[in-house]
Order: sequence, then structure tokens, then C-alpha cells
Amino acid sequence: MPEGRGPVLQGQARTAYLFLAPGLALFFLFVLIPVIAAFYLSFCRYDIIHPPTWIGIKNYARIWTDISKQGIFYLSLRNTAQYAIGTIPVGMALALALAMLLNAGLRGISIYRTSYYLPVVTSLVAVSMVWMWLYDPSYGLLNYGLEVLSRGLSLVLGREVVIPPQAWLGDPGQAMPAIIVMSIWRGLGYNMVIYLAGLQSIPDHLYEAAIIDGAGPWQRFRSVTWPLLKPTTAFILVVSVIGASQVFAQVYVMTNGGPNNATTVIVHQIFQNAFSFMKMGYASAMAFVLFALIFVLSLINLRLLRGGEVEYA
Amino acid sequence: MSWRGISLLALLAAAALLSGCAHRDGKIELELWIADFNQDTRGLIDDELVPRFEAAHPGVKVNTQYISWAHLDEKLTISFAGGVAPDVFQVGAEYVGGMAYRGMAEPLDDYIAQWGQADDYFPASWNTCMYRGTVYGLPYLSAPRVLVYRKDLLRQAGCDRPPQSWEELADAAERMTVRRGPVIDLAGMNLPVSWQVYVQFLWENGGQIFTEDGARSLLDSPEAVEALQFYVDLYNKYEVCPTAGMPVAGGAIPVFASKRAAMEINNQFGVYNVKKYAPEMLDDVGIAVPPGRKEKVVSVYTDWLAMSPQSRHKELAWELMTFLMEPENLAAYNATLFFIPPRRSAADTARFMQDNPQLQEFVSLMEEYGRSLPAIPEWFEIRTGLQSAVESAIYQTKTPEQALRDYSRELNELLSERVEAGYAGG
Amino acid sequence: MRPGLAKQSLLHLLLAVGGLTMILPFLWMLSTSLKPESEIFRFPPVLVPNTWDWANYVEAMKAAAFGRYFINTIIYAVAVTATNLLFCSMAAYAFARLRFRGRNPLFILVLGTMMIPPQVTMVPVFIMLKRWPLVGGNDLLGVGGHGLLNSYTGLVLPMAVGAFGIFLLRQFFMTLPSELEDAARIDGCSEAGIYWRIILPLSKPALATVGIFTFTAAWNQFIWPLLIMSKDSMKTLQVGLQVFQTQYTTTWDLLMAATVVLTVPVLVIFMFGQRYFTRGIALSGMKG
Repeated sequence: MPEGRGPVLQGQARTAYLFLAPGLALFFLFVLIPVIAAFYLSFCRYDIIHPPTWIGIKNYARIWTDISKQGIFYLSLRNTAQYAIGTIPVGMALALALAMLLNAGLRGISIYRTSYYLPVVTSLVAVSMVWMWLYDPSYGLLNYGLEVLSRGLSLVLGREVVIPPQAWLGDPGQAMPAIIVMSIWRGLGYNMVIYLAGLQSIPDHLYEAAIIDGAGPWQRFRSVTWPLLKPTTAFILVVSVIGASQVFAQVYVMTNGGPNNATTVIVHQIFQNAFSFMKMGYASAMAFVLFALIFVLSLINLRLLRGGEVEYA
Repeated sequence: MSWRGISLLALLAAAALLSGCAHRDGKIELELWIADFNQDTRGLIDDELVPRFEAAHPGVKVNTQYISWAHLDEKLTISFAGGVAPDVFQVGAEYVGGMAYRGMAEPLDDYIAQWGQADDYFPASWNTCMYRGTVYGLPYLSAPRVLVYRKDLLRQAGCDRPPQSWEELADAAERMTVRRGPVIDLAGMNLPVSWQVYVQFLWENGGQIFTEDGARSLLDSPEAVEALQFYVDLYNKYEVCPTAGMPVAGGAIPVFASKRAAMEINNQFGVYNVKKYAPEMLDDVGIAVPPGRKEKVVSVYTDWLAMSPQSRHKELAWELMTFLMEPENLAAYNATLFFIPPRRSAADTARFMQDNPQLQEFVSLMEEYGRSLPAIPEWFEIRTGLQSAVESAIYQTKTPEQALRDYSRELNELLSERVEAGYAGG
Repeated sequence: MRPGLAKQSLLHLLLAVGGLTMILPFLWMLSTSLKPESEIFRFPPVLVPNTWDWANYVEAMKAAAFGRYFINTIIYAVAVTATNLLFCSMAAYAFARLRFRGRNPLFILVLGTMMIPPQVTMVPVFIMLKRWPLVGGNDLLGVGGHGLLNSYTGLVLPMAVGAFGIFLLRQFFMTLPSELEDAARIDGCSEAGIYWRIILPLSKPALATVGIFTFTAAWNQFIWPLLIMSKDSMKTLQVGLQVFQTQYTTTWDLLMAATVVLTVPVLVIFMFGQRYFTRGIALSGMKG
């Protein structure tokens, strides 16, 4: 529909600008301008102390060389992708299942909701520290569980079974999966809450109509729930991808990128380069390479899950 | 959301926004940042040292902030960027090069000449604050790394003195290691996987990280490769180092103090941990210089105080620094944290030093064999890259020679960038 | 529609087992907070402490000015939540329901900024706040004082409007049936009236979500308050927790006690906000 035609639509436009004004003003000032500044810095050498010096695309060229030689930025890209693939599909599926379980009208639902949201509510730093401890090779619950398991198996099988204690965060192969498990645990409540809000807005009468039509639970899910949840799913997917691409706190606290660079993620590289190595220009370039990747991914996501306006039959 | 609720929130928000003004009560404010602290340190500084300083300098207020190392770099750089850097701040052993290079630390040669107390400092500590002959700070606490070992276990293994060479070290460690299947119950030699351990071996082998002028890497030299090979062998060939299931260095109860290791290279925390977790073992703990191959070396890591060039009250900042450096104050500070005071007069008079005879051995070893890291601006990148190289060798994704060759190349590129850029202002 | 008894029991079982897994680390945290330091590192690990050392809580709270930090954090979290709820919903309404030139590109721009890691924008924002003219001792050109640093304003403003809230609310608004709005428009209701009287009440679940998330994020935020505040009296709770962690030791018992205490307010907010997750009442008037 062409814009600005007719008094009603013009009025809409005016209200729109009014409505947008305060939010966007703050947004431009504190979000957009710094982003533009960071973009400018990505073409500079900037050690944060002295004024930036323009060096053109050298930072980006360096990133390109790093990727082609499988250097550390490449490793961080790979690790971040590993993290995203590990946490997003499983996390979202579990969250949806959980939200649907909690939406079934059970008693005591708020206790469950609260306990599933509890991991989200605590600061990520504190949670990371608790998990570091759970994973501790000597005093942690997990290795204790392994020991109990090996003792149990020894009893059952009648011979000595020794499951050696694992290094978890100290083992290059186990560190990232360990962080992934912790992150799924943490993010579950978050996505669950969003899915719950989405589920709540699906009117009952649609389900009732489907039941009258003879649809079983899976059919109902496919024809009513899933399509109407599309905007919610799209939202969660985009936000999850963005969140996964920016994972940092857990890695910083639990492994600081190690062991043997098994867990260094993109933002960890950005952080190190910006504040330890004083290479803010290079860090900004990395941030924008990340941005480009995520932007493309998000466009694909939004397209796949297109389902904005809903028409009620 | 009722109208009342919203207007209440709005009022609250407005009140909050308007109340953020700073007061000016006419005092000169000095900002002090401390990164090594605990409960006792804060009590010492907040309740004793600062009030005494303020009493001696009426009209001056000291605002102390305690910032953990994990966040120090961020906060420091952003504060410098914004022009609100602290007047006096604490930094670590690898910082002097970068800070001098970027103009984040004020050269103190003139102040020190007038002060005249430089000679009281241990050379290995003092050198940590020097870059290209100029002094940029005052050492605040020192941590020399020596060989800490169990005298009883060594005797049981048939050795009457601590190992004096690499061969003896590997041999003694092997004899003292206790295994149970794939699990090591008692590690002969506790070594974390760390670039600092590697540098120790490197120096013991007569190697260097850089050339004299700091312009090129020497990590591809035969000495460097031998050192890494030995380190890797301790892990993978002799298998005397802790495996998974051992307390992680720095977490929970440390390996040595939990009686799961016979020897380790550690700073004075080796003794501290034993005192704390296994005091009955204290008499069996021996201190010795780490077994060298071509040289005997004790690496010393010192944290120090610097002054910001942005400070508007440099004379006062210097007085604050020297006040904190007075022997009793310095000793008191180090006592709270169990570090070695970097000044002889402080180390001699400190009660806790006298109460712990083993600490005095640390001091004498430091005097005789102490060495600190060479000052170079790129230490943060180097320690990250070197750590990766060491890890890749120990986890066997590369051979020691490969790892060092690759890293040496990277390091040379890094160093050449600096020579290019040259920070003569901009 | 309540499911049958058998089904109910199964669901309860699943949820309970899952719930227990979720809170296990917290039970650990709780148990550690009640142990004296000597009991913390034991193998095999002990879940229920022998003696319940409530003194840890008292000691933890006395270790730093947590009362003051609490006030600061409340002000910060409430202000940020209020501004986000208000401004994000207004902007989201414009993006979702109003037609104007440049709507889609603008929305994509807003979305795009979410994809930039905050680490690279922190420095420009910091400098901007420091050089804010005519505040905190600054002159017209923003030189001389410390601008908006060390102030609530400086703490709140950069976080006052988040792309997340705009995005979530816009998605949600788009699922609302447009019949109600069309009817209201025909009745002569202004856009602002539609926003206030129709859209917002229907959006309680989404608003509750944004409110809870924003409050939680602000409550738990660490880096930003750490960088902006250099006076102890202005610190927030998370920054205050630092006192328990040093380079060589962590006083676990006190740290866990403090963390437990800090978690309670957000939990309370969540339990309070949960009520709004129940169905919007107006939807039931939609039949036929």
C-alpha cells in the first residue's frame, strides 16, 4: 500500500514519528553513533590511548590472511560455530517442549516456571563459577558421579571397573562440550519464557475447533501451534544466533579460551585484542566481520520463518 | 500497568537521573587502584594507611578502588582513553614495556634520584619496572619461583639432596611418582601447563626469548627447543606431571598441599598453601633453587605501582607512592597477601618474614639467582601466543620444534610491526 | 482444559526431574554458602553441610557496602526497565502497526545493531559520557570535568533503549489481530489511544517478558557499572561481589552467600511478573 496517501495514512506516519522519537533518539545517540564510530575505527590503528590512525583495509586484510592460514581468528570462528550448533537447536527444542508442558494447565505451574528460570536469574559470572566447580577434576560433582558409577559397575559386573576422572574444562576435547551443556542449562528458562508468552496468545478456540475436526495432539501442534508460533520462533532463533555469536562471559571465566585454544570464541578474541593487546582497530574489524556473518544468517532465518501478520479465518 | 504505577516509575527514574551530580568539597582527590588485595589488605589500606596519609596531608582525599586482575586491563585502558586515569595504580610484571611505550606510566627517574632509596630494592624486583634504562614504577610485591619439594619423599626415594640438574629432576620425579592404573595418585613433579614454566626451563638452558635489543625472537634456537622438549617429556615421556583428576592448579586445594605431588616449582604460595591446608607437613617442605641445566635461575614476578602521566597532582601522587613504600607499610601490605616485600629493609623487619623461616630462603635465592622478564611492549600478545605454543606441544598437536618455529615466526612479525609503527607520539 | 490424572502425573514427573536438574547447581551454591571454609573442598563432595554456618551471610554482607550497592542497583534496574518498557513498546508499535516511509530499513538498522558485540562500542560510549557538555564539571565543549561518569544518568542512559525490547514487542504486536484496531479507528480513536487502550493491555505477556528480562539483565550487569563508576558509593551489587575474588583465592563461602542474597530480588520480580503470563483477558471476547 503506498505510503502517505490519504489523511488516515498521513496521520499514521506522523504518529509513527512521534512514537519513535524518544526511543530512537536514545538509540541513535548511544547505540548507532558508537557503532558508526567502531566502524570507522575498524579502518584504523587505534590503541585506545592515542588518537586513531587511518590504515585503510589493513585490518580486514589481516583477518583474511588469518582465515586462509587457519589462524586464531579462524579457530575462534570455528569454536563459535561449534558453540552455536551445540546450543541452539537443542536449546530451542527443549524450551518449546518445556513451554508446552507448562502450558498444559497443571497445578503448581509457577513453582516449575520459577525453578526453570532460576538459572537465568543469577549472574552469569556466578553461574560460571559454580559450574567450574562442578567440573572440577578433584572436587567436582561430575567426577564424583563417575567414581560412584565405576564403583557401581564394579559391583554389578564383579570386576574392577575404573572410569578415570576426566579433566572436563582442562581437556581440549571436552572443554567446549562442557561449556555448551552449561549454556543450554542456563538459556533454557530464557527461551521457555518467550515461548510461553507466544503460546499464551494462541486463542483456545482454534484448538477447540481442531479437536472438533478430529485432530490428534501432533496434528494440533502442526496445524495450530507451530504456524502461530512462527513469529516467536523466528524471534528466538534470531536472538539465539546473535547471543551465541557473542558468547563471552562463560568462556572468559571458565577457560579463558583454552586449553589449546579449544574454547576461544570470537568475542574473546575481540576482547583480548581490544583491551589486552590494545589493538582496538583490529578488534573492531573482527566485530564487523562477525556482524556481516550474523546479518546474512539472520536474514536467512527471518525469510525461512516468515510469518508476520496472522489472518484468523 | 496503571497510571499510578507508571507515574511512580517515571518519577523514580527522573529523580535518579537528576541525582547523579558529584560533590565538590574543595579537597584534592587522589585515585589509587589496587589489584592485589583481600579482606585484610582492604582493612589495612582503608583503615590504617590511607587515614594516616590523609592526616599527614590535610586537604587531600585518597579514593581507593580494588579491581581484580580479570578486569584491570579494560578499566585501565578505558579510563586512560577517557582521560580519567587513576593517579597511582598497580600493574603486573609484564606491563612495563607496554605502558612505557604508550605513555601510560610516568618516568620516575628524577623523583627516584631525589628519593635515594632505590638501592634497597632487590635487583630482580627493581628491573621489572624498568624499560630501556628508565624506571616507570616502584615494586610493590614480589613472587620468586623456586623448587618446593617434600624432603621426606625425596629421602624415601633414595636422594639425599634436591635435584641439581634436569636429569636428576626427571629421575627423582619418576621414582617418587605413584600410579594406580591410568591414574596418577602422586605426581613426581607438579607443573601447570604455562608459558611461565617454559620460560623458566628456557632460562635454565641458557636460552633467551629475544635478542638483546628486543627486536627478534630467539625461540627457534636449539636451546629453546631443548627446553620445550624437556617440559613436554616430563608430561608425556616420563609422565610425572599431574593428569586429569588432579586438583587444577589455582583451583580448590592446590596439588602440592593436598599431598598429591612430591615437587613443584612455585612461588611463596607453595609454603602458604601447605601452612593453610596441611600444616603438619610444613617441616618436611624444602626450598631449593630449581635444577638448572646450564644456568641456575629463579624467575621473579613482581607487581608494582605506577603513576599516570595524566595525573594532575604528580608530586602528591609520588608522596603517596613513597608512603606506601615505607618499609613498615610495605611489609604490612605484603603480610596480608603473603608476598615477598621487594625491599631488603622491609623483608628484614617484617614479622611474617621472621615467623616463616622458609620465606627467608626465598629471599636469599632471589638475591642470588633472581631474574625478571625482559621489558617489551607486546607482552600480552606474547604470553597468549607463547601459551598456545606450549599447549600445542604438551597436548601433542605439534612437536616442540614445530610449535616454536611457528611461534617464532609469528613473534618476529609482531615485533617488526612495532618497529614500523614507532610511537613517537601518535 | 485439564488433562487426565495419568497424564498429569507423568507431566509432573517430567517437570520435577527436569526442575531438579535445573536447580542442582543452586542447591550446591546454597550448601556452599552455609559451610565453613574448611568444609568446602572435600572429596567425596558433601551436599548437606554438617553445620549450618548462617554467619557467612552476615559476614558477606558486612564485607562491603552492600546496602548502598543495593540501592544503586535498584535505581539502575528500575530506571532501565521503565524506560525500556515505555520507549521500546512505542517504537515497536510504530514498526508493527503504523505505516511510514523507511519503516523496514529502519527496523533492520535497529536489528543490525544487536549484532555488534558491545565490547567494541564501549569505548566510544565511555568517551561520549565523559565528554558530555555542561555536566559533571564539563564546559560547553565537554572538557574539564568527568561528564556523566560516576552518575546514575551515565549508567542508565546508554541502556535506556535496547533493540531486544523493540524486536520482541514488534514481533508480538504483529500477532495481534488487527480487527480490534480497525474497529477502534472507525470509532475515531487516535493512534495513541489505540496503543494505550488496546495494544498494551493485550500485550501483558510480552510486556512482562520484556520487563523481567530487562530487569534481570540490568540487575546482573557487571561490565558497564564497573567501567562507569569509580566511587565505591556508586557501585552496583555485581561489582561489589568482586571483593570476594582475588587473584589467588576466592572466599567461596562468602561469595556464594552473597550471590544467593543477590539472586533473591530478581527471583521475586520474576515470581511477581509471572502472573502476567496468563492469558490476556480480551482474547476471550474474540469468539465469533
